[in-house]
Amino acid sequence: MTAAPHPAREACYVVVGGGQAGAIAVATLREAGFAGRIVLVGDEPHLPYERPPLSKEVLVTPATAKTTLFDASFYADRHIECRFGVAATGLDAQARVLTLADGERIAFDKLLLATGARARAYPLLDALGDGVLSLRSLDDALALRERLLPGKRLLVIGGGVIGLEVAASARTLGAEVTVIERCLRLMGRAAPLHLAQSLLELHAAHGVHFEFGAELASASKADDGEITLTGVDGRVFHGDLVVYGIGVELNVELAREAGLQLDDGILVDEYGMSSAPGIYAAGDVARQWQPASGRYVRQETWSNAQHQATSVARAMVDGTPCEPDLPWYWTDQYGHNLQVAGAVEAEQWLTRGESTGRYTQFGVSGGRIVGAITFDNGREMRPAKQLIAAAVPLGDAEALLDIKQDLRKLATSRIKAAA
Amino acid sequence: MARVHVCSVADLPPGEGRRVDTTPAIALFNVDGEFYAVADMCTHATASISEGYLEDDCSVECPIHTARFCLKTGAALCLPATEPLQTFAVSVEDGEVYVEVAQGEGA
Ligand SMILES: Cc1cc2nc3c(=O)[nH]c(=O)nc-3n(C[C@H](O)[C@H](O)[C@H](O)COP(=O)(O)OP(=O)(O)OC[C@H]3O[C@@H](n4cnc5c(N)ncnc54)[C@H](O)[C@@H]3O)c2cc1C
Ligand code: FES
Repeated sequence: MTAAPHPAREACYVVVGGGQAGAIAVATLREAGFAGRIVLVGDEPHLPYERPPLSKEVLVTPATAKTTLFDASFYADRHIECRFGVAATGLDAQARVLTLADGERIAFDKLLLATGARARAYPLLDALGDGVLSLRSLDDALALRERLLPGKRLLVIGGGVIGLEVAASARTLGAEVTVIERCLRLMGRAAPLHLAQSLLELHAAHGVHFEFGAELASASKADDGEITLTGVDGRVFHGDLVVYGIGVELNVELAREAGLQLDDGILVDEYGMSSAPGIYAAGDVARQWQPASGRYVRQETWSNAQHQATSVARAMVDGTPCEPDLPWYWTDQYGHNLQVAGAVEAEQWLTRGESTGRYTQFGVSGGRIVGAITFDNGREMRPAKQLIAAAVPLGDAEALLDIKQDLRKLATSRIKAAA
Repeated sequence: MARVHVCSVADLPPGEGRRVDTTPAIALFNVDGEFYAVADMCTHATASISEGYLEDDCSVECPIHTARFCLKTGAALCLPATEPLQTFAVSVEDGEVYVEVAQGEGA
């Protein structure tokens, strides 16, 4: 028999990016019933892993830290072809062909971009070479752990979540820590001011030193490795090690080459599909249209990577639109667990159980519960999220703040009453 | 096997959970009058499962990163957990609740 000029090939879905979103997506494609060929391409040499432990357990309790999402057999059992340690270097949206760094060309029917982000570079500091680190990948975390020794003087540039987690882990390991922040407060837009203030107090109580309003002008390294940073206002900081966390840069090079519409991320519709038919995006790199709020939203959280990857992969298989997910993240510092959900810009915050050291706060705007914070009180986050999702009127605030009342029961009855 | 007394049935109303200070610690739940016992330490990181959110389908959601576990089998039902929780037999006699722990473990 002679081969047909265009041999029919099996339907093929490709996922680019072997991070959390990519791994969850390939698993979901199979679970949702896609029986064709699935290829997962990731440029890191590791099996896909979760990043949250990198600034926490991987530094403090490496022996028991777990980061890998699924072991190799998970992919093999589901006939998911993995290309790890190989970057995707070319994307032709019209011809639907992906090219890899090793020359392999993969023709696909649908493709998901889950390329995430990388740490934003800080050329002023990077120029110093050894002794300056940022933290995005497992390899970054391992390099940092090696250098974070008791008594070392660590300069953390950037008072965002990652900077603060590194500061907490470093203090726990016995390093001396100074956090240098350009703004006058911590956590930028990720937390309301009062929460940023409590975190500042928590860190100060653990011996972290803070410098606010400090913009760096110059950086130098002596022969013995001591690093000196000078602020534009003349402040001088000395350290043995610098870690900076000043935000991320999105990995949108492939998307740009393919001509996809970009605006602070790959713009996708409620199915997760980009401006190019058959090409989707999820995770840190995706900015998704939310019909309910009439806006595009991009989130850099574990929860979003998880939820969006699941729902976009489902949409690729059976065409169901994605349900919006309530913004939610957690951070662990000094053994405390902090969780934030919904709108951080609420007009007013009410506290439930302050005196107990573990508390829940409700953010209220326009008489409705729009946000929640739990401090060592994760058990109340679930009912708090339900209250936010149902847009329940605040009602009797006294009952809500009375810790003798079970929040789960209270939430159930209020949601019923509001329906 | 050793049998450890936990509490009276009346001490743990339906929908509630509590931690039992055995080694390793156990989380005991009352689901509509049925008692279930699983290891208290989440297999993902270090949360106390007894603080978790009890779902209607006899599963519990971890209070820290929201992994869910089946209380009957201990199976991890969703990420970030992948490893099951150990389960323990529970018995109720004369209104008192007991959990079975391996010899050498105990309160
Ligand atoms: C240190 C740290 C701590 C964090 N802690 C928390 C926390 O406590 N709570 C929380 O909610 N969130 C946390 N986050 C955020 C969370 O981890 C991210 O939102 C999540 O990892 C996003 O997943 P992703 O799959 O979209 O992207 P990524 O995890 O960035 O994965 C993308 C992958 O694609 C690869 N890739 C990119 N381009 C290509 C290409 N062309 N070819 C092949 N591969 C490519 C990248 O190398 C990467 O491996 C933390 C992040 C970091 C870095
Ligand atoms: S500790 Fe339970 S899910 Fe992370």
